[in-house]
Amino acid sequence: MNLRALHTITAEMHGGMLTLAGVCVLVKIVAELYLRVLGGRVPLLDRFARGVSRLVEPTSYVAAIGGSVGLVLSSVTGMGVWPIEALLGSGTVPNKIMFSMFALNLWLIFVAIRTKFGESIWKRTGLAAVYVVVGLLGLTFVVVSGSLAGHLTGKGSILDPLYEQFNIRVDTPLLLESNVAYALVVTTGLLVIAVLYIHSLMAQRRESES
Amino acid sequence: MISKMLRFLVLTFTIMSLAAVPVASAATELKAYRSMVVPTIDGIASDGEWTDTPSFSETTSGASVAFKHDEKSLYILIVFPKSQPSEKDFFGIEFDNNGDKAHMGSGSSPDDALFVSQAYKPNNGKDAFLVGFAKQTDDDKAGGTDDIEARMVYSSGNYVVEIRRSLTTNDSKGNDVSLTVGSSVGIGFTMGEFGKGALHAATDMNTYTLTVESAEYTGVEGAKLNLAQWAQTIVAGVVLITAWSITGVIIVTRTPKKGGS
Repeated sequence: MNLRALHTITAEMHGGMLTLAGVCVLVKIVAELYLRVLGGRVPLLDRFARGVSRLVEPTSYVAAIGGSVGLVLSSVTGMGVWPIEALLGSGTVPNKIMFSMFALNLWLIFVAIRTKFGESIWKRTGLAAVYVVVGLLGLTFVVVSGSLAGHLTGKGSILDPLYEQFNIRVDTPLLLESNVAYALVVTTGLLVIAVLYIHSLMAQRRESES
Repeated sequence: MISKMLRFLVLTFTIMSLAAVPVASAATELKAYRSMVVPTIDGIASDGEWTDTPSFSETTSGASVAFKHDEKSLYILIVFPKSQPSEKDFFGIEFDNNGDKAHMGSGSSPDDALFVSQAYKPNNGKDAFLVGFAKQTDDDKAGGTDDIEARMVYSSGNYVVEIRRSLTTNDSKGNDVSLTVGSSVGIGFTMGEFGKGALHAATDMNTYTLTVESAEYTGVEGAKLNLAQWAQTIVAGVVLITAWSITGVIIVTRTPKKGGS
């Protein structure tokens, strides 16, 4: 079996499916915003927005599942195609792997939220906001990862002017110093505990008031 | 007597002609990889400036040579040893843009060349072309333009040379070779001391070719990655994403509605 061909297929598959998932989320937001803010004025547009909203919601879910599976497969086949020397000798490859992992992380959370709460996500504004932010961040990492793939194949990327503008070198490993990484993990842990504790106190007070 | 001399001359000429026939052998391909790390042309190979492209050890000149490009310019790093430096020391690069695989060019078909020396000031480089043996004509003296920027610094027994030249200069009067991504051209190297005539080292023009690669370098000689630091960065990112996503979900789903039961 030609592993390179398989890698190309899985890479195209996850890129396309995750982009579709992200775009569907964007379309869903537009449709929902239209219905909530401008709905009821033009019946034809209302029907169109409802129809689009009904279609893109499950599409984003299915595409996110397919894209996540594709991303895992692409990582496995990628390990066979790219020798370890490429990882050690280039800044672009480790950056691409890192951004792909962040993308996978976000899309798995996206899928988990949708699996747990179903379509009722869209009836709860706060949950919908978290769901959308996770999906759009996932899309961002997919786009950056795809842009790095363009660099690796020598084609460049349409994001290059942006990199130049912000003086970002995609071929230099974007690494955190060890102490910064540890501090980030510890700080995140403490902040999350603090936020959840304060939230539970506020929730209790609100319940007792009601 | 005359007949003997004539036979000797014919024999000598034949042997010399045969010796001059180039032996068909594959030229070593040197590659200028695509890079986003633009080096500062200061004669100092700073950390990270040249780690994204392989360097090649050239045996005739004893120099270590590296090429890369950013689609606009070609960047060249040359490091060569010299125990007793002189201001007249030079390093030259000849492009076989007429494709004859021979040193120098002719009046009708010159070879493009560039020379670096501390004798040139303030820019240590000269854009030139060659119309015959030791007939260096500077581009700007022939109605063309000097299209290279170079610095040559002597440090700890070595010269460090950094050069920048536009891939395509459109300088027809300077006979500049036009390099495009994917193109390939014969290349030669020379080093010596100005004023010492033929006492210089030079590679044959059929020994090397330079190819302008479209891809980035991904080989073992590139920047070395700190795997542990890389893994820590990924773990930190994953922890950050997961922790805040879950926290967000918990907060928005466990908040009782105002006035609700």
